[in-house]
Amino acid sequence: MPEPKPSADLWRSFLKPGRGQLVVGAMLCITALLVVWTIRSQAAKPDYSNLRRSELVQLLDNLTAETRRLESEVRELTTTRDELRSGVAGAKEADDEASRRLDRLKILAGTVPAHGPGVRIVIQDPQSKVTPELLLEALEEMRDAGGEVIEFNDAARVTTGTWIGRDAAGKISVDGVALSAPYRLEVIGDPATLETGARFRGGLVSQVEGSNVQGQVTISQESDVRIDSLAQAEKPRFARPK
Amino acid sequence: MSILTELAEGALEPEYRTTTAPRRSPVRFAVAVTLATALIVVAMLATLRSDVADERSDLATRAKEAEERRDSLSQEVATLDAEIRLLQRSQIQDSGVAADVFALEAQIGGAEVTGPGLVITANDAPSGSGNGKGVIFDSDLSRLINGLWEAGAEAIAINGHRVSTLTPIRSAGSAITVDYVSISPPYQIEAIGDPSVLPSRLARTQAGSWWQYIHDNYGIGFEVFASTKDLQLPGDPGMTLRKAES
Repeated sequence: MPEPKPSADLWRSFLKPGRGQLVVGAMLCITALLVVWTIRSQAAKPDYSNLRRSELVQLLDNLTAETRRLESEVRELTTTRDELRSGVAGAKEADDEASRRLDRLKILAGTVPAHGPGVRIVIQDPQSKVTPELLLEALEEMRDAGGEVIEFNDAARVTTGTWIGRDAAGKISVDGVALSAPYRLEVIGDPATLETGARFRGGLVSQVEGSNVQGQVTISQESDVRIDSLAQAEKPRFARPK
Repeated sequence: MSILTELAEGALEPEYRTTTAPRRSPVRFAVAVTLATALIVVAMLATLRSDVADERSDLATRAKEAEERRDSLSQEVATLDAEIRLLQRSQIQDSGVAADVFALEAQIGGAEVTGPGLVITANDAPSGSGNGKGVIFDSDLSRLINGLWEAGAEAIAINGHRVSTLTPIRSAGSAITVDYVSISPPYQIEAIGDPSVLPSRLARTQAGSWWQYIHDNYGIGFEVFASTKDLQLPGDPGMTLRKAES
């Protein structure tokens, strides 16, 4: 446009854009479309889009391990069921299976010692900053990583109803048993998975070694962890089996 | 006049017209458009097909699939487990063992139980309130469960999932998982125990005061009801041990 024009001319040139203006306009339009499309496709992604890559890998690892565990469980259970159903097993077999089941239940209830592969975790707490909540998180992490039998400081066996709190003197206690630092966790399960679980970002190791607690964690993978402490199995007074 | 006209017309050198005339060379124009298009296409491909994004979405898809597979497997385990328990109950000769199995299973969370207790409903704060802190985290829930055990609960379920010693309460993405299954708010926690003392004992625990605090300050829903009516809690399916032996 060679020279300034009055407003009527301006209006006309707005209605009759040059080729260059048309191209720029079209490109802006396409760019805007792309931006909107990209944002929408990001937003439409499923649950995991806000996870980091490392977290996704960890999640997938856990899922795969859990799936594998379940698959072999399904195989075993199917065999057991078929035997029981066909009656070939016989009464003796049924009794044996029942007592194997009872043994397993006793381990879970914490009324017998147990051993197996696993990890030993030692938490140094020089400034007494470890809280019951931190240990509870650690316990959930171990359960998440497939921990089967867990014990604190060779003294407190973890079972279904285990709680972590403080005793009257302010010491951390597990099911009412007072613990003193260093805190030691012994866990039976897959050693590598358990260690990964504890080292997960934001997990036990980063919590304890962070600036709040300034403690130290050592984890050793063991081929045989022995857990000898026992839980007192109290008879339920209100919960009745059906 | 003719001189003036000549002066006016000749004021501009002929070269001026050729250099300032709009350059409408079709070749240049085509090149410009092609370049711009190429740029946009590259940008688009980079967004859609970048290795990182690709790998991430691939991982996310695989995680989703693995999750579905796991859920259907746990369902299968639960069905098989229930079937086996029924078959066994009818076949076991040794009644002592049978009675022990029956009682222990219920106690550790592996089988259905019934009894009085309390029901807690917990919910995220309505959006817009609570300064963005009105969301319940996995750690809040596990703390509450911890407090319930401390208060003397004998059996607990969250949104119908029984909590046993093999039940992790964690988070995956934005959702809380109980026993690896995602649950969403509102959360309903059922606990069997003495209904006359359970609520007051819970209120005296650290967990009780923490929940009262987040209820008062962040608008998180937290209501505790004693239930004298019997609650029905399912069993935690597939409580098996892979590594541990006695």
